[in-house]
Amino acid sequence: MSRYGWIAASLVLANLASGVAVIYATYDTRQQFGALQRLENTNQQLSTEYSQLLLEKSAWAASGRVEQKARAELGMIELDANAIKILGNRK
Amino acid sequence: MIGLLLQFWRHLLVLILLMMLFGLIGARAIKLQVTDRDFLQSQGEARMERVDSISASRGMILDRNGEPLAVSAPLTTLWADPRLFGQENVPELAKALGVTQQWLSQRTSTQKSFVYLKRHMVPEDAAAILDLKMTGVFGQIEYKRFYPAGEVTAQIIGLTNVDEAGQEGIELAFNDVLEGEDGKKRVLKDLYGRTVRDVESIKAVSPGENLYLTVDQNLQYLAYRELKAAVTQYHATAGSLVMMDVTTGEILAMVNQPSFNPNNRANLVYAQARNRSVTDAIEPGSVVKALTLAAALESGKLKPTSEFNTSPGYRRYDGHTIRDTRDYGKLSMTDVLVKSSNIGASEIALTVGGEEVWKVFYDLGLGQVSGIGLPGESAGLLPNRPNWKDIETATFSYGYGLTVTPLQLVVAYAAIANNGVKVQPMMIRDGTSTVSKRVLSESTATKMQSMLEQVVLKGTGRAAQSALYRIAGKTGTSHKVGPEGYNDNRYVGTFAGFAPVSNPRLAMILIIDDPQGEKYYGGEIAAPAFGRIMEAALQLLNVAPDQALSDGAAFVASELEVAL
Repeated sequence: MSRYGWIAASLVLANLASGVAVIYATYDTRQQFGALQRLENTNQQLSTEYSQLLLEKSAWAASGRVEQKARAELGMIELDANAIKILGNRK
Repeated sequence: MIGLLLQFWRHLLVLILLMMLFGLIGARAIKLQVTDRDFLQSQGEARMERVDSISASRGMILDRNGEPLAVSAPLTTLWADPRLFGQENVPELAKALGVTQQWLSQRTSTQKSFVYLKRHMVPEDAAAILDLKMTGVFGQIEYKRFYPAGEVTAQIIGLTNVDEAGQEGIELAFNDVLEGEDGKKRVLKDLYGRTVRDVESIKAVSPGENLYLTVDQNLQYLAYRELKAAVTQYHATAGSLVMMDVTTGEILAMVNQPSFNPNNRANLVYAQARNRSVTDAIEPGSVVKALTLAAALESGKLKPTSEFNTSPGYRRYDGHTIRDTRDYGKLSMTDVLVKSSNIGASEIALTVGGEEVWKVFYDLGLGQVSGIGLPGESAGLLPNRPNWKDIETATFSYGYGLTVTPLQLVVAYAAIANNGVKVQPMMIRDGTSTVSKRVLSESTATKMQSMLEQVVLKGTGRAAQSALYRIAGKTGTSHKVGPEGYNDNRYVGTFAGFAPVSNPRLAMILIIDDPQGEKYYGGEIAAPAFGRIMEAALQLLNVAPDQALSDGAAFVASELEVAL
């Protein structure tokens, strides 16, 4: 084969290879993007759950509820001056 | 040659015709693929590709300890494309949505391409409807704001509208920070509008930032509970309370009555959504006397022991009479504060001069916005005059002829408590440092502290006493202004002060507006609640008591058991 023949053949091969690479890159992008979408969906679901749990937690831990439970069920009281003794010399 | 041509002319004709056909197809292909390529491609994309927006979540608002005060939860909004939606699905969908068939068929028989079916549904319920896979019915994620602390923080946090844009309070003031930026992605959709494939991400979502407040949820709740109790007990129409850390300027609690439930705005009255602590300027009355006295000490013309004759309990200035509740006779400056004598305060102010008093008031932050950055903040009115008439100086000295917001008063009292250094109040914990400025000399501030303690020890503020902490403060009772001037039987009861006196930590103001019962003096209605809240707040902050606790009052275990 002549010199030009070789050049032409290698250019054809290179062209083919780059074509295949383009196909692969496109395919890979789609795969990755699909994975990203799945992760984002998971993220969405988890954050939904998180905010629901957060709201649930603050409903259970609402100050009014805690106070009422502390007083009624645990019998806790606020200490007045008579029930407090300062230990040691503060000055 | 000719003979050959004649012999095969039919074949040749067919061959040429076929070649022409191929040529035609080739030319068409070239036209489509090369010449018209861009046009065709863009038309195809216009029919198949859509850009969907991905909604960003709004940042949370949390208290100083990370307790959530406003949280966005994703909910599903159902919408329909009436052009695609088939009316035969109406009965089933109406049943699933819980609406009448009539409403639904009306809603879906327009020429629009987008109508809401139901906004903000619980995701599970919406998923059940979407699973029916009706043509033209779509779901879309939207966020809705929830306020776990409800009415306790309602006015400071504020509100968002149905599209999650801030409307009131911090939600409005910091909307830019809280709001994220929506993302965009390119998707392929089929004939029915369903997303077939996500093609690429155009812009990533940037979610909103979380905002930490200086407010302490525990103190806020405590203040809310006590203020509500006081407002109810004295049949008042409104009330406000602001609690501030005197050295940092951090607002630890800010509550208002009446309040509202921000999670259910069906019967929201906008008067309740107002953050009275910053938006409402009132004539403060006697609480301002402390500031008048500070001006007097600052001028160097007077000492706490300087005496004034207030007999016979009334005095005329420029044809107007000023009265005390009774004839106090000779009063020292401290006693003017302790007994809350209007004549005494007037005499002090006249000795110092109106201009000078005005200047100290202004330095303490009256008549200007505080810089806290909450929407709708009022600057109040602090009129300066080219020539101060005696009556103007006199009324000024005991808190009339000027208006202030509760926040301004607490800032002024905090400056006294902070040994004369005024700090700018703040509500957001974002690492910004405290802005402070010396407005009173240290000696003036210390003298004022002990004078204000006297008010609680033996004066009008006795009801604010605590067995644990030394409290200093000043009462105020001012007449409300009605359409015909000052109202004789409508009042605002106030108490402003700070504690513990040995090393002031908190400054606070409590205002009870328009009490309808028999009691209306600030010393009767505001002082007791002030004392209770201050004591409990300092205990919650683990501040050591500075009252001398008698050794005899030891902690006895058996006593505690009895109490249980």
